[in-house]
Amino acid sequence: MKGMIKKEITLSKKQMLLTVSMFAVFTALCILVRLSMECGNIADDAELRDHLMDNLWVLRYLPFVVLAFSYNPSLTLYGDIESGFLRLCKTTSYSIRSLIGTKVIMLLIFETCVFAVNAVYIVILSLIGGDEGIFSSMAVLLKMTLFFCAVLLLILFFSTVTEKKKTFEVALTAVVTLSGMAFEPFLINKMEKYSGRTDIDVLDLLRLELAPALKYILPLCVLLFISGVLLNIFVGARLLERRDG
Amino acid sequence: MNAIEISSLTKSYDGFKLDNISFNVPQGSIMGFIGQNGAGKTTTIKLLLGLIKRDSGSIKMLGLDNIEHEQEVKSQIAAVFDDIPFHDQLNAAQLSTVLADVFLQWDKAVYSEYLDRFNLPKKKKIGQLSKGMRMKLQIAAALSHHAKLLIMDEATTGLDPVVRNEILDIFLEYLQDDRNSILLSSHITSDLEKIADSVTFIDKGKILLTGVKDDIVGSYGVIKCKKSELKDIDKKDIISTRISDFGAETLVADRKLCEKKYSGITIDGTTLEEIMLFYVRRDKGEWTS
Amino acid sequence: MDIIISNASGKPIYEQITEQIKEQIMSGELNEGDPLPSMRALAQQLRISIITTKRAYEELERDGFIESFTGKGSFVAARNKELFREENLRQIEQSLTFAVEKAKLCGVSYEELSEIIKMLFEGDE
Repeated sequence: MKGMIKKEITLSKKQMLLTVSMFAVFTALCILVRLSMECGNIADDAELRDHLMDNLWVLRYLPFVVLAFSYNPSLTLYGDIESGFLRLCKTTSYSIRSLIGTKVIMLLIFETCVFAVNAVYIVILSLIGGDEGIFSSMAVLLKMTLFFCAVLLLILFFSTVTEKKKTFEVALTAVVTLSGMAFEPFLINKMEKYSGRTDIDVLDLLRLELAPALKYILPLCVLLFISGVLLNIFVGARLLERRDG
Repeated sequence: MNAIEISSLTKSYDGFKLDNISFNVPQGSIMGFIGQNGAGKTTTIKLLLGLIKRDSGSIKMLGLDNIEHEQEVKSQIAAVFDDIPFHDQLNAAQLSTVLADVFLQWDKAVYSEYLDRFNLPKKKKIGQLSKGMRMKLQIAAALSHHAKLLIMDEATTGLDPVVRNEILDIFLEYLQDDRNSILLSSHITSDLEKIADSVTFIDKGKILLTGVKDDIVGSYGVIKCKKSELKDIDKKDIISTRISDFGAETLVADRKLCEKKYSGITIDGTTLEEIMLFYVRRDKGEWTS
Repeated sequence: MDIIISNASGKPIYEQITEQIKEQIMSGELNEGDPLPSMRALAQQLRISIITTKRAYEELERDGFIESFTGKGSFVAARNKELFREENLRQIEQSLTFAVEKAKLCGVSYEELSEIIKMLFEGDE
């Protein structure tokens, strides 16, 4: 398994470098802003300072959002297919299930690391200030991690359904676009309730609306996550094996 | 024992049918699998490697049925394709760690030796290597996991003569161990003229000939005569005839017989390439090149 | 051991090998008990099929020039004057066949041919 995991990393190197650089840049910016708040330009502007402090919570999850998509097993799968590596594996005693399994495991390891990095962030930010406690932030982060893993796993599954990268990309774009289009009327509908109120902004709005649904999010994420793993290992691997080499 | 035993193998596709083919590859030998593009070589090889499912017939490799004992068979064979199945972003050294997971008996030391022998750079990305170097890399990998049977689909096509010769020498070395066998499919017969122990000709999904190369090349002959003399040759003996401005050349299956039967005429020895050329046009009877 | 294969000679390769090895044995280049390269090694060196070398060795053994032992390899057999004489006669017959056929083709009679042979024999003395 060591070799296959190394392969996944090597193939994702480009993407990872990009996101890690972005992460470094963001962190640097955040530090600068924080410094300004203490002893720089913003230190004197109380209103701006409060505003920033209120929205500091976004920063708590920023590393995750930036780093979460660094490793995309679908991309490496297409790399395996297009290079002919998958076909080579089919001629050996190495099972396609192991191939997919390695990607799933790599994904879990990777997202866990990202979770850990973000957890450190949360701890640091809580120590500095900000209105959310460590534990509730960790809970949100956990849900986000599960959700992102599930999404990537489902995307991986869809890429086992079609060997053609183009078809897959078109389908994915269509799904995302259609979901966005469906989501819009929903959002407008909800927002109408709040029209006229100037004291809340979009982020508060989302929080208020999603609050009732929050108790369903964790089980949903866990369900999606488990389905993702099972679908890939049992169905996805089979599909890849069956297809004519 | 035979390294490969194919019996009544059939596979149908849209517009193409591999029709009831049978042939054997003796252990410890190299067989040249010859045919034009589209004759059925690649389909046969895919069936051997388990990449596609057969409609009917049986395939035995190293004594085992290739479906019943799939894992065991696959752990002892090595496949070599005409386009190499490795990621461009990896280099030869990284490839070794990957293949160590894929092949049960991966031998890193042997692989390293081959890399040195072929002068392959270990740290250069595969995508930056020339075609010849990539093929040598693929062969180095194929020979580094103690496989007893090498199955190659057009492995030498598209390579320059120097590289091709290097590779053929490696095959001969591989065969020094008489437990090893090679099936090499090619439409370039010159590679096989010398070193093949046996040959199988395939055309339009059917096996034309299969047997010991020396026997086949030795028994076939080409009658060279005037066009007016053609009628004197028994149709049953003729495979096909090439007509040119200066005369006629006819491939016959039994040279010795024809030498006795048609005394005085010129019969030359022939090559695998000529045999293939004449056979492929056997439906036409007489043809011009 | 030097073996030279000619693709253009028209003679089957295994025959070329057999003849050259026979000559080397008769001339004393190869002595009784000398080991011969294995069939596979010879095939590799000459870049030909193993079946060809196998055939050559089988013929050499059949004609009594070499002995093969499974597991050990092939070795030059004991010098056998009878055998060598037979082989030399065979080669002479082969060369003469060419002369005889040519003679028949050109209408040269048996007597004329004998004269030529007699002349050649006595010519060097």
